[in-house]
Amino acid sequence: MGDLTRAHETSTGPAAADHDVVVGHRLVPHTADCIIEAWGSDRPSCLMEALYALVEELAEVPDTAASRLMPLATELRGANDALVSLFEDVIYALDVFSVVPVRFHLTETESGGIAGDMEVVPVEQAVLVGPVPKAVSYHGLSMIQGEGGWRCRVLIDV
Amino acid sequence: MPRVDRRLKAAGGARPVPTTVALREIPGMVDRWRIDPIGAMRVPGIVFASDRLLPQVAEDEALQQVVNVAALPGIVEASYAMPDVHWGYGFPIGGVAATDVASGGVVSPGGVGFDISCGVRLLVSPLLSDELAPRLEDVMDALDVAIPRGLGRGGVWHLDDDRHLDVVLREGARAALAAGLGTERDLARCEDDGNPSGSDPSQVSERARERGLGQMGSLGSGNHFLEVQAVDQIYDAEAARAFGLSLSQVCVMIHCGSRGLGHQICSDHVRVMLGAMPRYGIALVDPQLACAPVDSPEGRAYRGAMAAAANYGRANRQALSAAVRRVFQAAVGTGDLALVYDVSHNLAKLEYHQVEGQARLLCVHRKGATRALPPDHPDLPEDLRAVGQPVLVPGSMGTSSHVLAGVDPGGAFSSTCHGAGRTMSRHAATRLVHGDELRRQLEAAGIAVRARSIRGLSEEAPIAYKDVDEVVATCEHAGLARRVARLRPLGVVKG
Repeated sequence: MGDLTRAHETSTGPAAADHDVVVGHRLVPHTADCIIEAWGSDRPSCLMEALYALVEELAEVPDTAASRLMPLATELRGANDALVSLFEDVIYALDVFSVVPVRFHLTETESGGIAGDMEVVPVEQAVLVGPVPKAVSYHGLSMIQGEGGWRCRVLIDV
Repeated sequence: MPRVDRRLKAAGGARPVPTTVALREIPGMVDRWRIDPIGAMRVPGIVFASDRLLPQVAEDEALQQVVNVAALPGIVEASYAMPDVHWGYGFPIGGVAATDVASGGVVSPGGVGFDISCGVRLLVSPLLSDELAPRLEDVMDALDVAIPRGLGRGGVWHLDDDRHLDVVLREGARAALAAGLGTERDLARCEDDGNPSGSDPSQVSERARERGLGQMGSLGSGNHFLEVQAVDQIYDAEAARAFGLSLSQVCVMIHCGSRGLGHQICSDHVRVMLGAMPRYGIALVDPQLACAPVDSPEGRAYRGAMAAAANYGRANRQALSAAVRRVFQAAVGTGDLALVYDVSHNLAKLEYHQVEGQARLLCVHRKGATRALPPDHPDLPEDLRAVGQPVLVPGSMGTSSHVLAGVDPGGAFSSTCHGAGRTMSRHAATRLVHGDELRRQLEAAGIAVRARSIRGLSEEAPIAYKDVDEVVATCEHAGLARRVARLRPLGVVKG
């Protein structure tokens, strides 16, 4: 993540817009599932923050765990659609390849899509700390650009 | 209680859209509240809640979601909320809504939920709790090894390939029988005989298939569980006898659904319907309510895929039952666990109901609600017809679960609650009780715990849920179902 300042929260607190940090994420209470809010200076950094929040809710991985790369990309240009697509790709990888992502590398493509990869480790190297994410809901979904960068909010079914 | 309007305001805090919804007590009815139609609502909202449950019902966005559902095209009678209702996405969890097929009524994947045909089954063993006690830890250790759960692939039933998966998607629990994972009697004690009709595997995407292929016979995580229980109270002796339940008898309750396959199907078809809604002139406040007419190409495609996922869910619970029977056979010498019943609490079904004096074909969505057929209903097996359909209501971890039965006339299109109903977010629960402490509390109460995630334990702490005893009592008082038996936990297997 370079030298960007990041903020991580796991509780109710001031709204994302109140933070004076460039990138970060937090969890917002939801009775049954999990709402992620993330923010970043650009769209890829905002999306990566949201994805880090997803993984942090799921598992802890030792720094020493061996990782390999898997592609992660979407050509969808709608901001919400791109977010849903990337989250669904990660959830698919959890279910089908039994891997846990530990690092994301995403950039914007010339055509307006998002492209990159994720470093993943076998699930056996991770310690499960929370319920497994299984789907992305459209309820309250938003991914918007404001003065300070991008912000998103997404409800994950667990 | 005085007949006054109550202005109930959803809790604000960090939650979006604090909402005020007016509830009015319905004269002459017990524990039944009405939300008068306003704005886009086509029907009123009806909320089943006791005085004790009412503040919890109003705590989050659930009532606003009852209002939103009331705007679905073709909805009839009311948008219903069961006593365990809580904030979902699109539909509230604990919501029931029926649409009139002949009047352009819609089917909504969000009205079924991501975990299609998520449900509960209950098995009874010939053992009494005293007989099991000296071997309980052995049984729990064996279940801990035998029941796949948590993250990734792996299940008790290996499906060879996509063609094998197709058989499961068409035949449900019957396909598990062909693999030696049950008996014909099991099917007779399943809703839809374990094989919901209308399956169309061609509507199941490649991605859904890939997710489903490696997870057959697994619990998952979150609030899914397998529990060893004992019958500790009988409310209705005749019905308990018919269900095969007697005092102190050891039971096993399994709560799980259609795993990644069902979730993917919901995601895929919500997307299709979001694209199709403008063509049908449908506009809704919440995109997760995406829908299409039941008889439209999109509606038929979803219903075919939903039935396929429902078959997967039934086969999943059947496969896990076979694993439980093997464990009991090896650990205590008897694997003879009879199925009491298997219910779904996330499904949309085409059913005939009386609406304004006429029999109408309705698409009944039960999202976190259980069908509860009354006595003498033709869809019940012979040996249950006199007493009504068994309804299985799991409590929160460490608390009692309940067996109910359908009543005549019932309400909400023969529906009732599905569980205790959450009142607290997962993180709020973890802040109040640590998993290790909860484990100590459960073990001090004589409940053996086998969990994959300590935090997962605290997220499911009883404090995060409503009082299930109050929920089922409310169902009884409101005329939705009647209590048959209460089950206390002996051991919990969690993802």
